[in-house]
Amino acid sequence: MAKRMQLWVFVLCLVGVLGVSMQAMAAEIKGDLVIYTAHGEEMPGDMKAYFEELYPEVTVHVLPMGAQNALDRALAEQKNPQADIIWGGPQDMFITAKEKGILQPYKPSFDKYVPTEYKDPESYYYGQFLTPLSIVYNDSLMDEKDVPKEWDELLDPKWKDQITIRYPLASGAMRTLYSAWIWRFYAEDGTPDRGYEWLRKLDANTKDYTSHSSVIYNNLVRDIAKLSVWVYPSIMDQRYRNGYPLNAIIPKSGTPVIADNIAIIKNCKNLEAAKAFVEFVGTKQSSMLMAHQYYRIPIRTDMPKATMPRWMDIEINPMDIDWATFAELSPEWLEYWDNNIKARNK
Amino acid sequence: MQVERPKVQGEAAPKWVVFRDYLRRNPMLWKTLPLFVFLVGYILYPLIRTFIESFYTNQGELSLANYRAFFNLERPANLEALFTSIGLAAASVVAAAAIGIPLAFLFTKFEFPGSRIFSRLVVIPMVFPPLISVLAYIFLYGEAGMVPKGLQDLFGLAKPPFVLKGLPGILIIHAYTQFIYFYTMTSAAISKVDASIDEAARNLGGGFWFRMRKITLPLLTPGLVGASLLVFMIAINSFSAPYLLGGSYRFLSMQVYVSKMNGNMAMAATQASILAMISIIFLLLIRWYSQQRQYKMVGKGVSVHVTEIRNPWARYIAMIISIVALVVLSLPQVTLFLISLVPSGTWTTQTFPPVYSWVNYKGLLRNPRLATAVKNSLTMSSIATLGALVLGSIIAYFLSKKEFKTRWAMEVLTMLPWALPGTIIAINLIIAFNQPTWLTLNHILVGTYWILPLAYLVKIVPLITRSVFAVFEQLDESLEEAGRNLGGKWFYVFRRIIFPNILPGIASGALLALVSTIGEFTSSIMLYTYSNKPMSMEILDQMQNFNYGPAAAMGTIQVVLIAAVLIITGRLFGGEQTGGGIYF
Repeated sequence: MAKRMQLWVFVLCLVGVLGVSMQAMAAEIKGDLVIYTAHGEEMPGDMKAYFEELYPEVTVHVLPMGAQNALDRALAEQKNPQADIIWGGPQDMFITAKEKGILQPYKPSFDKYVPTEYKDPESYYYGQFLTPLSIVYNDSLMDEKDVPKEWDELLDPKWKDQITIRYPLASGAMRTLYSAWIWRFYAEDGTPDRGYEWLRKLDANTKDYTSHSSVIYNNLVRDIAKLSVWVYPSIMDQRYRNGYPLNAIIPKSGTPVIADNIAIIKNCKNLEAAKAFVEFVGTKQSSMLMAHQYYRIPIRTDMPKATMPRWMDIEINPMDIDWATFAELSPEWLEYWDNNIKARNK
Repeated sequence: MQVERPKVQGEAAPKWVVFRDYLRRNPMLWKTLPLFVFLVGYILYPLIRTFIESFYTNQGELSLANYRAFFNLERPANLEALFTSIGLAAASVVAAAAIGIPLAFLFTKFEFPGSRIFSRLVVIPMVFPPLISVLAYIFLYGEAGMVPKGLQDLFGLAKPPFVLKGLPGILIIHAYTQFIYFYTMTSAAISKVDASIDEAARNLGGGFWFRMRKITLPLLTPGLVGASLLVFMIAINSFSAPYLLGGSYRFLSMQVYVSKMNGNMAMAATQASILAMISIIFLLLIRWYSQQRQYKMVGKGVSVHVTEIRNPWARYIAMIISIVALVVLSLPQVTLFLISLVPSGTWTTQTFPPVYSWVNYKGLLRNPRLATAVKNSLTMSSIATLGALVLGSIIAYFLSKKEFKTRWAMEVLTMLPWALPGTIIAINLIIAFNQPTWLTLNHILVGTYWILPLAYLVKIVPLITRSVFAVFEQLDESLEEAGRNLGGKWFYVFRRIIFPNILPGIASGALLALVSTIGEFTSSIMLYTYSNKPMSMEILDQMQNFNYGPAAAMGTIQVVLIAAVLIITGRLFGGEQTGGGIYF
């Protein structure tokens, strides 16, 4: 009898504990979740809808903005964090964010599928998509064989005033590319000088620097310029979804590959929901969905090739970059470029 | 003011009694105190915080390093930006004057078929939402623009005859949006010329140029100087046009933005301080100059001397000039509408869009975000306008009806935000309210809903104060006196006499302010959050994805909203224009 009582008490306790913890789990994941994202409007909007279906108690607010802008805001709001997650942006930006102490480490369950070079050793941020930089052209006006295949070919004087470029100081991706161009020489010489020389020649061929990314698409589509440099997946997006005659080539010698990262903001208001969201967008299913619908190349190493879009069957040779040093030196290089190289080589 | 009971003392009154008596003798000091709390707290204090910030490095050391970097000849980007901005602003003044003055003469001085309608439609550029309209300009006159390419096709030229880009492009956009100041000032001055003086001079044998030189020009000069200073100030702070068309050039307003983008807040504060100083100098110049222009016509029954053009050829020429001017003025809006009808991916290298459809509008109707953005914009604009209306009316009342020692301070502080570009207002608010202050009820304002309405409010207080001030100045004081003498209580007199008299003026000022915040771009881009995302940011998002069609559709909706407000106030079709080009 006593034993029975004991058993019952034990079972009741167990049920009680389970119930309470279940309730606690459900209770914890609710409320508002604010995401600063560099992934535009549609994809985060879609993922928001799916996530809210899984966690009906959570309302997701997505704020699309440039990656730099997201970092800026998170920094400005350090004392009063308004967002829970920064979604999208290059490694060097996330390294800066980590150093400034605005990130919250979290090790998600998909950790083992992310190669070490694309994640923070202390789990402050995780790479999610591979975003290689590429040479862009209008394939209704230009034959593929005439298009430069390597970065160095962009310096050919025949492209004088034919290259349209997004003003690098205003774009995370372009900052990375410009710094990577210098990095190639810095890694060999320990000084950026040859890199600067290279950029001088590129500047001589550059028609204009535009502050807005859409203007480079427009310049190519309306035949105002012949070539540009931009992130590969976005070009595929414009090509296959909007139907513009744009195409791109990834240099075989090596291209900076931005690992579009995701991280949780320190002292955010809804840590549990933030963790759940990181887990959710990192799943295989989410990766597949975003690959097909939104032209994002997943970093996860366990994606079966046959299930991926055909255009993703490309060769990417990531440039060998020490991102921590890169993040440290890049602002100086860009400032030098802005002061001494930009528009001075005509 | 908390006043304790005075303790009876000997001969020498204690300091606080002296102070109390001083306050009693000068009641305006404490009556205006709440206003000064607002003006100093939300306008001057943020500005000073930014200025102080500019003397600290990003590592928090006190030094002149930022200024040394700014004026460093080895790294001339900032200096170059400073000079380009000043040069562009000066050129904008010339260009705006070259369009505004002749049009004002044509429409105010002469009468010909349609002249009245033309003179009212000339304010079309006022309805010009930022950014997306610059895009319309690019599609119109830019490389591969419809006009240059159309001319090229028409005449079979090897190259487009002209294109709008770089500095000249920005200059033309500035002229387009800012000529209205010259137009307004000139036509107001012309209307002031007493026809009888002009006629007397003519009867005495004065020729056209003689009368121009001796009568019209002296009356015109103050207005022109005012307009020049104004356009200079607006042009040097312009953001949208350099943002899209700047190309290889540097501009100070863009440098502030870029520095902030790169996380170099110390440099951003320095650049903002320098830009603010230039703007404030111009504000003080305008104020000083407008106090000089105290000379009025003394004759009675001033009426515009309108010359009817009788010569049929001159009539035709005048009409043709007017029609060309109006077509040119309205083309950007038409282009905006045209782009909104083009589905994505259809318009590539053709001169004109090959496909038109309503698909972008249908897409917007399905997109719940648009409704939210419209709602956010309207709500925040209304909050800001109501707040500014209360504050602006009280300030205007004090400025117009009371004499007090700190009057100049109130006037300058009130007008300050009007001289400051949105970028700087935003930076100031970020730096000042990134920590709890008693001004913000111990809350951190950055990142909340309320920071954007506050930025709007600060920006439009000058606009409303000016229009209410003008109304008060015109209000005949004998009306109020008569009411009081007949035994009316102050509130009764206010409700039945003053209020109905000032309502139309105040309402039109308020609606104008509402309009200028509906399309606000430069503060919004730095301050918006998920809870208050305004229309201009939705447009920016669409543009970022190269969805020009939907962006233009939203821009068109914005134009329609703004035009509706303007038509309601009757500003578009009659009355004086004073607030054009509010976006730049």
